[in-house]
Formats: sequence, structure tokens, C-alpha cells
Amino acid sequence: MASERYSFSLTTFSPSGKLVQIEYALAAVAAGAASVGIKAANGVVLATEKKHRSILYEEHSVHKIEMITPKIGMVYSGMGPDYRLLVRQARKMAQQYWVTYQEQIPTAQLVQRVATLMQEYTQSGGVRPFGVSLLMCGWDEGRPYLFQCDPSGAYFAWKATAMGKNYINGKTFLEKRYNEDLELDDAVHTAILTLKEGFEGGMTEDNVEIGICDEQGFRRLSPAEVKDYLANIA
Amino acid sequence: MECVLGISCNDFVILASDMTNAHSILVNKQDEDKMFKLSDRLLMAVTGESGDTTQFAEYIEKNIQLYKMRNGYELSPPAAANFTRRNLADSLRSRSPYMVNFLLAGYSERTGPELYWMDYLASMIKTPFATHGYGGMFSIGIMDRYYRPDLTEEEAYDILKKCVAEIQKRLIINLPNFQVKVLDKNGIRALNVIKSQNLTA
Repeated sequence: MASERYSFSLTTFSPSGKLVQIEYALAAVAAGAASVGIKAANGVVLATEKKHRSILYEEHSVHKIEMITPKIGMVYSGMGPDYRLLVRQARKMAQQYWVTYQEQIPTAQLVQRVATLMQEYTQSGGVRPFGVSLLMCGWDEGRPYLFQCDPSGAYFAWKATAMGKNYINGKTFLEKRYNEDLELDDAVHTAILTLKEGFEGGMTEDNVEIGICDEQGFRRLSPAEVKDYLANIA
Repeated sequence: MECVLGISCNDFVILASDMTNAHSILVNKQDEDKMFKLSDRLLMAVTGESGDTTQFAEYIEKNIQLYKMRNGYELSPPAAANFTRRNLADSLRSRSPYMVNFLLAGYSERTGPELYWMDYLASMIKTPFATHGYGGMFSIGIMDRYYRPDLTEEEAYDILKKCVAEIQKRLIINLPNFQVKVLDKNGIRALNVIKSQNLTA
């Protein structure tokens, strides 16, 4: 956290009333790999592009889409290392809730806790804001949830959204394609198409990650399952 | 010296607690309310160290309310019970633990009526009927004999009257009054106080 010399915040207001560090953090997010989240009638889908700089990468060792609790999953756009810290913290927050209440943490409450943490890093000494926006999906009390958390600590509930590279086009695409009665399968299909809009090169099961959350809980799709969905968009 | 009784049936939970407040040989009052309303659907009957009882009960009550303010919905009875137990467990190995024993009654649409027994060592069980105190030792056998899950409110009240009659006959300490409250889907209601002069043995 803060080194002893820096008890003042490095995130300060500009004359126009903006927190420029947060604007820059959002720029880091917008430069990151694309990610998409869509809420269907019976579940939520998260999808992201996994760009590898070299063919020597071991593609399936490190994941972008992560489970926080059996019923909550998360993906990001922006800086990977910052994301890893947030995943760790989110998992801990979820378990702390369990220790206190012997019940799974409701998605909205976990989102609030993570967002509060992100806000703290914009108002503490010697730290910088997180360079990630998170998409969190969950299922509780019989219905699906999709939330976005920004570097500022703001959080939003979405029906469908896109983040990272080409997110404006992605959101426009979703505005046209989204409807309330989408089934989870259709939502996965739509998510893949949204990613495809700005995808450089061909989409394969090795450079796309998909996670779904439904009544049974959250899980990441295996490469074989992703391959099946990709075959359907051809 | 203090005694609390609780019975949980298909549609309601009923709690009874004695109303005597005493310090050593001196009786301060005979009409003390030992039940704390944690929320519209949560009721706690507390015995134990004087002072600890109120402090602990109010602390839990305010935290239950805080959760409701923060999140817009109430904690479920199992979550509230586990939260209470967690607080008790954390205090146990602190410099001065809370010396409280209590029964927690809760009702929710999802779970129905529930009764939790907790003691000062932070053990907890969910159970159809339970007691605390010396009076409870006489009563638990009576509850064993007469309890059914489908009791009506009148029948459950009658069982409590039998318990109180036994306590007043066999316990050396005089506990003349027992307050009774019932918790069901409509909330918390007080029933008639069971008084020694009204009871036929």
C-alpha cells in the first residue's frame, strides 16, 4: 500500500473538476483486449479475446475469466496484474461474508465491496487507481445479474455491454441485437458476434474465452465447447 | 435463575421468558421484558450476565437494522442466527466475553418459522423446542412429551403453561410471571402473561 513518504493522494483534481488519473486509467481499459457481457433470461455470458503476442504462449495455462464463488464469475479489460489482485480480494470478500452469515454473498453486495475497494485506491496515499474495468456476473435468488466496475469505483448494472478495444462499436452492435427474451445459447452466440466485430485475425477456441452463469452456477467453457459455438457462427 | 422457553411449529414460533430481575437476594422488578425485537421477523429472548444481555442484544439488533438499511432487504433467519453466533464466538476468546444464553426465533417466507438455541460458548442448534436455565431443565421433559409440529397456537401456549406450572411447583426460586410472544408470518404478537396466581397446578 502507501510507502511512508506518501501519505497524500496522488489522484488529485484538475481545474476542470476531473480526476485525470481516473481518465487515464479508463484509457488503459479502452486500450485493453475486448470483453463482452450479456444477460439472458436464464443466465449471463461473459466473453473475452485472449490476444497472444507469440505462438509460443501456453494458451490455456492462464485464464482471464475467473470464478469468485460457485455462482459469481468475473472478466476484465485493461491491465492483467491489477486484475489478479482484484480477483484475490473479491474471493476473500466472498469468503468473509460466508464466515459471517453461512450464506453465499449476493452478487450486488460483492460488486459493491469490490467497487468500494477500487474507490479507495483513488483516495489513498501513494497508490494509483486500478487499470481495469471488471464485468461481474452472478446468479442469486433465482435471477441473473451483470455488473461493470470502473477504475473510479463506479458500478453499473447492465443488460448487455462491451469494454476494451472497440467498445463503442461493440455497444452499438449490442443495442441492435439485444432483447429481453434471449436464451443463454443465443446470448453466447451474440457475444461471439460482438467480439468478432473488432477481432483481428480468425477466432479460435484458443484465443477466445467464454464463461456462463446460470441456475447451476458459474463455469468457464472448455475449449471444445467454445469450438462448437464458433462453428455455429460460420 | 432466569428461564426462557421456546417452541417452533409449522406456522409460528412461540417464546416465553421469566420477568424477574434480581441481584443476589434482592428482587428489583417482576415485570422485566427480556425479549428483544431484532426486526419485524426476528425475536430474541436473552438470559445471562446483567448488562451483557442488553449490550449484546442491542448490538445485534442494530447490526441487523444496518444490513437492512445498506442493502434494502433483511437478513434471513439462518443468516442472522449465524451472524449472531459469529459475534459470540469472536467475543469468546477476547478479554471479556459476553455471558449470554438465548433463544432466537425467526420467520421468513423461504424458511418458515425457525428456532435457534445459543449459549455463551457460541454453540448453536436449530431445534423444534428449546430452553435455558434451571427452569428449562424441568420444562424440556414436558416439551418432549407434548410437542408436535402441527400444534395450534393455543396448544403451544398450553404446553408453556404446563412448563411454567412445573417451574413454579419445583424450582426453589420464585418466578411468578412469564412473558409470552409469538412470531408468525404477520410479525410479532404478545400473548397473555402467564402468572402464578392464574395457574391451576
